[in-house]
This record gives sequence, C-alpha cells and structure tokens, in this order.
Amino acid sequence: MGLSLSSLFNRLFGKKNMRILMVGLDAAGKTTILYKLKLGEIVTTIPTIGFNVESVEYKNISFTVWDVGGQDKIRPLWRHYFQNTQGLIFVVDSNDRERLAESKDELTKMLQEDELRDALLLVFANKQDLPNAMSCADITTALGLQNMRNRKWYIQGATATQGTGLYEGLDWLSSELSK
Amino acid sequence: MTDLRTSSISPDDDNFERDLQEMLEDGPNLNEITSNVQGGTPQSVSATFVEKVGPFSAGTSSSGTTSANNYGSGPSGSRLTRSYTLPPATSNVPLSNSGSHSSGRSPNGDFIPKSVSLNAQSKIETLKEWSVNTFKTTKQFISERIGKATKTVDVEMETSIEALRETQRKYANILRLARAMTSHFYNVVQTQKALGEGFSELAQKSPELQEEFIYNCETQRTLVKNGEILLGALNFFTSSVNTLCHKTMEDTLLTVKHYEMARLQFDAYRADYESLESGPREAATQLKLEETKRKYEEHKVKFDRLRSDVQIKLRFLDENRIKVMHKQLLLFHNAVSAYFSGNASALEATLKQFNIQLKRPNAEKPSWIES
Repeated sequence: MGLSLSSLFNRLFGKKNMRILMVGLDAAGKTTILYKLKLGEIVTTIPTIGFNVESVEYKNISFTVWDVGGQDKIRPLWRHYFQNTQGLIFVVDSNDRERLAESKDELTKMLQEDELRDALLLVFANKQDLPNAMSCADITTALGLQNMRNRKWYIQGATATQGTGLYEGLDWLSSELSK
Repeated sequence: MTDLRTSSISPDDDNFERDLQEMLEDGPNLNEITSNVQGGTPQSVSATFVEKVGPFSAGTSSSGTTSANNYGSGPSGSRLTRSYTLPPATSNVPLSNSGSHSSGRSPNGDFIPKSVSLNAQSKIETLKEWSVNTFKTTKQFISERIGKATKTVDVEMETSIEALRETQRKYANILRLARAMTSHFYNVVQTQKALGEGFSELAQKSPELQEEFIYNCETQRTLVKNGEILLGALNFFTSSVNTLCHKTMEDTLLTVKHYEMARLQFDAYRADYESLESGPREAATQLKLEETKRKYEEHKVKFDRLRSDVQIKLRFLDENRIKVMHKQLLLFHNAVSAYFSGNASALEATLKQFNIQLKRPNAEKPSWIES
C-alpha cells in the first residue's frame, strides 16, 4: 500500500527524465534549436565541433538534450551518444533539397543501431519560414518515414529562429513518454 | 487441494470418484514434476543450480550480451558479492575445473522436461551461456582481488579515468556549495522584500519619520531587484554545472563502466585460453582450445572497441567541460563581483551577455529547493 502510494505520488509529482539525442546534417539548425529551447533566445552559433548538452525543463519533464555536431567528418561520433537514448530528434533543413537524400541515408543507418531500437523518432523540418521550404509531407516521403516498421515517429514543421513548432515536438515526446 | 477436501467432506460419492478420475488423468504431469523436484533436492549439484536459476531468471528474456551489459551497468558490487558464494559451492563438483562447459551442461540436462518448447530451449541456452560467462567473470574478479590472476592495465587510460572521477567529485562539491549559497541568498532577498514592505507601511503611518522610512524602503527595493538578477545568474550557473556534472560526465562514466566490465570478461577468457594452451595437447583438448580461442578473440574485439570508445569520449568530454566551465565561471565571476560592488548596470549587462532571462520566480523555485 505504502509502495503503491509513493509510486502514485512519483507519477503525479515526480520529475521525469528523458534523454534526447539531437542529430542531423550540418547547418540544419540543431544548436539554434537547443538554445532556443534552453534560453528562449536566438544565440549566434558556430558549427559545433563535439557536442553541447543542456537540460530543458518542460511540462514537469527534464529533457537532457544532446546536440552533436553534424559535419560529415564528425558524424561517426554520433554513435557514442546512443546509449540510453529515449528520444531521437532528427533535424532537417527543409530548404536543402540537394542533401535530403544524404539525410535519409544517415537516418536509416542510425535507426538500424541496436541501441536505438526503442527510441522515439521526432523529425524537425526546420527553416519552414524560407520561401522555398519543402512541406512536411514531402519530407516524410523523402525520408521514407511512412515505410518504417516498429518505430514511433512524428514529423513537426519548425522555425527555430522564431521558436515555432519546437514545443509542439516536445509535447509529442512527453505524451509518448507518459504512455 | 481445496477440491479434494470439499469432495471428501461431501457425501456424494460419484462426485468424489469423478474428482479422483480427473486427478488420475492429471497424474502423469504431476509425477513428472515431482520426480524433477525430488531429483533436485538431495543432490548438492542440482541444489546449487536451483540457487543459480533463481536470481538469473530475470535476465532470460534479453539476449546474453545485453544481460551482461546490465550486469556491468547496474549496481555491480552487490551482484558480485552475491555470486561470490558460487565458487565454493561448485568447487565441490570435481568436474568444474577440468571443463566448466561440460559440467554446466549435465545439470541442465536433468532439468529440461521432455515437453519443453523450442523457445524455452533457446532461453535455457542463453541462460546457460550467461551463467557460464558470469561464473568466469566472477572467478576472474575474485582471483584478481586475492592477487592470483593477472589483469590487463592501460596505465594512461586508468589515470585519465581516475582523473575524471576526481574532477566529478570536486565539481559536485562546488555545485553543492553554490547551491547552498543560492539558497541562503534567496532567503536574504526574501527578508529584504519583507523589510521593504514593513518600511513602506510605517512610512504611511508615521508622518514624523516618513522620509526616513521611505529612504530605507527604496534601498531595500533596489537591493531586492538586483538580488533577483543575481539569483537568476546563480541559478543558471548551478543548473549548467549540474548538467555537466551529473549528465555529461555521468554519460562518459557509464561507458567507462562498460569498458571495465569488458576488460574483466576479456581477462577471464584470456586466462582460460592461456591455461588451456599451456596444458597438454590432446585431440579432445584441441577442439576445446579452438572454442576458447574463438571466445577469447571475440572478447578482445569487444574490449578493444570499448577502449577506443572511452578514449574518444574522454577527449570530447574534456573539450565540452572546458567550454562549459569557461562560460559559467565567467558568468559567475562577473555577476557576483558586479552585484557586490554595487554595479547594477554591469550586473544587467552580464545577464544580457549570457542571454539569461529572469524567469517567473515560481518557475525557478523548484530547480534548487528540490535538490
């Protein structure tokens, strides 16, 4: 009885932790998204060599977001941060049509990893404010998301510089986590 | 059981006979079970096996490698001490030294009922493999502790791992102190707020001291305003150092734990292989030697991979730590010195420089009161 009460208490009031890994090609806007979430402001970023980690509190969940650099030379680094990842945020530059296939390759390769088999997949179709941006539906097709088996995924259009779409993405992650 | 009792009490004999018939039909199954149980209890071998199965059965659903990982990542100390009792128990069995593989098989054979499904068989295989692995690792662990076995040591790596653990300890201490200071300072600001309100109230009520009360009220209010800005900076500092100390560093330390576990396993199989190789060469041992060599190389690959992983992660962690602490220490210094030298505009400029927004006070409270 006491045990169930305390677990109920934890369920209602305890802070949950969620480990998020945010990856994507270089210049997709990962670091901008990270600091928009953390500080609520746009900071000037330089290409990330290595990684950034920030804890973001949202809806009583503490998201630990790992933002790992996306340049092709350091992409092999991603796998070092797969362990215990519950949510994978894949950021795509919606305006970069030429490199969408490259994005798809990286994503497919990553999702085959055993350590990520239970991870939720959230795709941010970033830079939606640009006039030539691809729609979420087009990106879904280009990334082959609808063919994915045994994977919970969600695509969210976003504009990091205005902050639109970011919290909607976190909403999905938090609702999936509490299921 | 309850069926039998009620039917023996009930006067209806037909009913009783039918129950008996049903029981007889169930008979063979029951016999099988009891014979298994009876076969298990008197012999010490099977008794130890039962003991072994108990704690291990939790890991059956996952594959051998993942359960080995769990073993490494979990509170390994307690598990290891629990399986410490195993070697003396199995050392009663003369077979265990000559070939742990074959001795592991014989008690298993006793326990597999004929009706066992293929799925269960594969589970038992995984369980067996895992228990052999755990036994070897535990043996290695113990013989290392008592100084009988050799262990692979990478001096440079061990030094940097130890340095990381030391850094984490020291940062955690700084964090604890910074949190304590933030907490005290929060109370100071709250008191100043209350004091300011008291002065303002008295200013209304006592016209003869009105001017004096108003001075003091305004001073306290200014202090509160600047104090809240400083609190914002302090909270940002503690939250960032907390992330560095308990998330970023912890992540690398988790990889280190996996690495240390792989090191132990590698050494266990290496010792196994070396003892077999130095022994007499016969046709029977040749096959076993091949098998052990294969296992040894398998674990060597895993160990080497984890070692390079740890090396890379240590390097990147160091870069991240320097980057984060450079920023945070600058913030801490600028904010604290600006506040205590009474330079309000420098204090505000500092927060702007680090993009810190003063959140609603109720949103900030839990972040450090909780911990």
